[in-house]
Amino acid sequence: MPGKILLIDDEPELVAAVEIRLKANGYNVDFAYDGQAGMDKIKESKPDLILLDIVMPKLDGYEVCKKLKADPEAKDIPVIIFSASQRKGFEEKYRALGVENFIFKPFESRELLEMIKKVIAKG
Amino acid sequence: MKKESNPKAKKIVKSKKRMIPVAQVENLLKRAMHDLEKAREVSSDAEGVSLSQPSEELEAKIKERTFELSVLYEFSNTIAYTLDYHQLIKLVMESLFKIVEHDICAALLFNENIASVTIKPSYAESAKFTEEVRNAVIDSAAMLTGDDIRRKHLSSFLIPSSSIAQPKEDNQLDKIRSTFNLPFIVQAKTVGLINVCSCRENAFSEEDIKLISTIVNQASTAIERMRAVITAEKSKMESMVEGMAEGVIMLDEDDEIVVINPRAKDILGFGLKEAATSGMLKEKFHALGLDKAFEECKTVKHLITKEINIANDGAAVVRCDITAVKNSAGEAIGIVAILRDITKEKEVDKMKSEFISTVSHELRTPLTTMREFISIIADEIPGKLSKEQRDYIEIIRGNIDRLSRLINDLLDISKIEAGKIELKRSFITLSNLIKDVVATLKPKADAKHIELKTSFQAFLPRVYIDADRIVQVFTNLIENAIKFTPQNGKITVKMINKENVIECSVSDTGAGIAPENLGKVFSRFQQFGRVAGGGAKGTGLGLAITRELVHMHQGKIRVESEPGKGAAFIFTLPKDTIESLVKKIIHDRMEEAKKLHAKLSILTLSIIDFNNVKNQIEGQKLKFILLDIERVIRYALRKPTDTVLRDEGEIFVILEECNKDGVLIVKKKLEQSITDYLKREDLAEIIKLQAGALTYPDEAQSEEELFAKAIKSQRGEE
Repeated sequence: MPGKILLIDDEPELVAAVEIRLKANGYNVDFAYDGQAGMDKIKESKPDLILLDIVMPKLDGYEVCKKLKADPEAKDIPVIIFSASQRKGFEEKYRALGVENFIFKPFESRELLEMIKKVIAKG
Repeated sequence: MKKESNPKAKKIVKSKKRMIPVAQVENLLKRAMHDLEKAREVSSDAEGVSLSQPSEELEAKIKERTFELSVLYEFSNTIAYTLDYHQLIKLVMESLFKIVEHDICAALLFNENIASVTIKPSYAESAKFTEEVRNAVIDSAAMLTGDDIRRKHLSSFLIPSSSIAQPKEDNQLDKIRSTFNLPFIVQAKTVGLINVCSCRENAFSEEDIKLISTIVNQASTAIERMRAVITAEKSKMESMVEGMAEGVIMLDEDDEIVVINPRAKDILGFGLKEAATSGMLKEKFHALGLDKAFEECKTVKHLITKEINIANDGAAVVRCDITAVKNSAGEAIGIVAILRDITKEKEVDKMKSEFISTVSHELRTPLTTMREFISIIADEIPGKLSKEQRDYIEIIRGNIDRLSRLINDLLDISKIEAGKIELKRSFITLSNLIKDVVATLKPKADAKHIELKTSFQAFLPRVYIDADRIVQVFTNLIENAIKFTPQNGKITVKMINKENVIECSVSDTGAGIAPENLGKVFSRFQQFGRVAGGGAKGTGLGLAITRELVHMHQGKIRVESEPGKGAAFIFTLPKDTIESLVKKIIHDRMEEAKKLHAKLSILTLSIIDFNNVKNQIEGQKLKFILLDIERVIRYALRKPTDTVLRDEGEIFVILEECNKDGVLIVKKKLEQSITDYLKREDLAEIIKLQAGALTYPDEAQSEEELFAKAIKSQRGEE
């Protein structure tokens, strides 16, 4: 049942940690360190789910989301926002774009895994 | 009066003369001297009449003169200390009453814009002439000056007659027969008038008139002095206001600009050299919405703080504090507005909150990586751990969690300080909420062998709260209790239904709090002497945040403790129903709408046969659907002053300053948006809405009527 997850975050060490965790739970993991590279990876590897950071160089999470949802081939890939900022009104903005869910850093691994499982099962 | 006493009398008179500063008194004195001389002549001419026994008539005259002089003396001394026109007129009238017999008198003082009439009847009965005398004095003044007094802002005062004064028996007080006017003249200009009346024919002798004119002349001099002092004070005030760093605007009761200093013009975007006419300024007030704020201040609130954005070179963000100026009767007779350029403060504020959110983001990022790697090790993904290794790893994980809690708390407290937390309130069943919190925290209590139990009264009403924030309150209090309760202790979470509030409490069987520390527990970073029973350390901010959150819900929080026996944190939440909230909001909005002659509309929306809908859709799912509908409504409104209240399937939307046409447009828009949503979610067959619209004053003339009709409309009865 596990699938392929694309992780887009500009913190290589965190990406490494999450990769270890996800792989240990049977997922296939691909990653990118900025939004632009992330967009390329989406087309290349066709993931089942995207874990997307917000504050990133080149293309931030919001822009990635917008481009993604405008792309007919990619728009159905579920997105979980993976962020350290918790600003007011921020969730609505992303939900309006069709983002599936949010997980805030620092996070509980158990929670992240459960959320991924649910979202993939739904898709 | 004995002969030797005469020189003595003269001496007194002389000494009085020296002390009276005004020349007119000299005449009186001369007259007194003249009477005295005459008395001597009479005495020496008449044979057989002793010098030491002047005629009784003359003696009475001298006594009268002396009395008149003492009244005049007192009058001129007293007026030297007054700076109040009204007080001066009162003194004039009191002195007149003492020395000239009359039945009623009136005084009128005026300047370019205002006039005031003061009337003093000598006897209770002569008060019946008040209106007649009032008109007479105004007409006389108009004739004398050619100025229409009635056009001015006219105020009237009545000084009651002394209760013991009685008219002489032969005075009928039936009709005014004698009257004369004397003007108050300052620098060759008439500034007022005094009118003295009597019901007797030819009531006033030449001497009386001279006496009155002495008093009036002295009063005129006093008015001149008072004007000079007031002008000097005013120019002092003016130069102070001119030089102020804040903008000052003062309006009178007819909204005319009385004062506007250069700084205010500058802030409003008028250059210093540019002559801003009153019309231009008023137009500016209107463009900035200040006119409305001024009006509201005068009629409703008496104190308003408004932030305005001005797009010009003067200032970008301006804080405007408006206060109503009241007269002695407490009526607003104008406003004073202080304008302050707070552009810099706003920038600093923005920088501060950006700084805090950036810092907390930057702090969370490395913490996240640390925590994830530690968790990977703790979960033994890379390999088995020894017991000792696992213990150390858990300590690291605990401290990382503590750091991230501290970051969250700091962020919370700075948001609360900046007033940036907005409650997202809805009607919630509190017991369900608490059960969830308790279930989450139970493992922590179990680990310490603490019994964590709840005790709720049956049938508690739902409360209007921000669920996330109240969860935070309960979590803070219960976590605290777990921390300070030793093993095998007990924690009880209680809810009691009181008259106006729901009282919640979290009590423990811990060490308690020393009486001297009870007052400090809600302060920041106050972690004193309570023996924490191990576990995660606190941040010292939890109770401060808790208190703020309770206050934001209009609740109160307190702590009770008996050292050695435990502590109880007790807080209240108001028991609002959707109806009581609608009533309250209508009340608040209506008061403003009435004063501003604005309209007020209410939209009611309800789900038809809600109980049936409840049976068809699973609880949690229905909750989300209702939240979505609420979101659709809020999204469609977009006016910050509009209020949306929802309880289950009942929704009220209160639209400020919205007329009948407006509310019908909004109603159509909302119905369309909700229908679109229901169709999209495939719910249109199950969920159907009915909507109603009401407008004050079109369909309801009072707040009670509007409320009653809104409730009826909600129930579909109308």
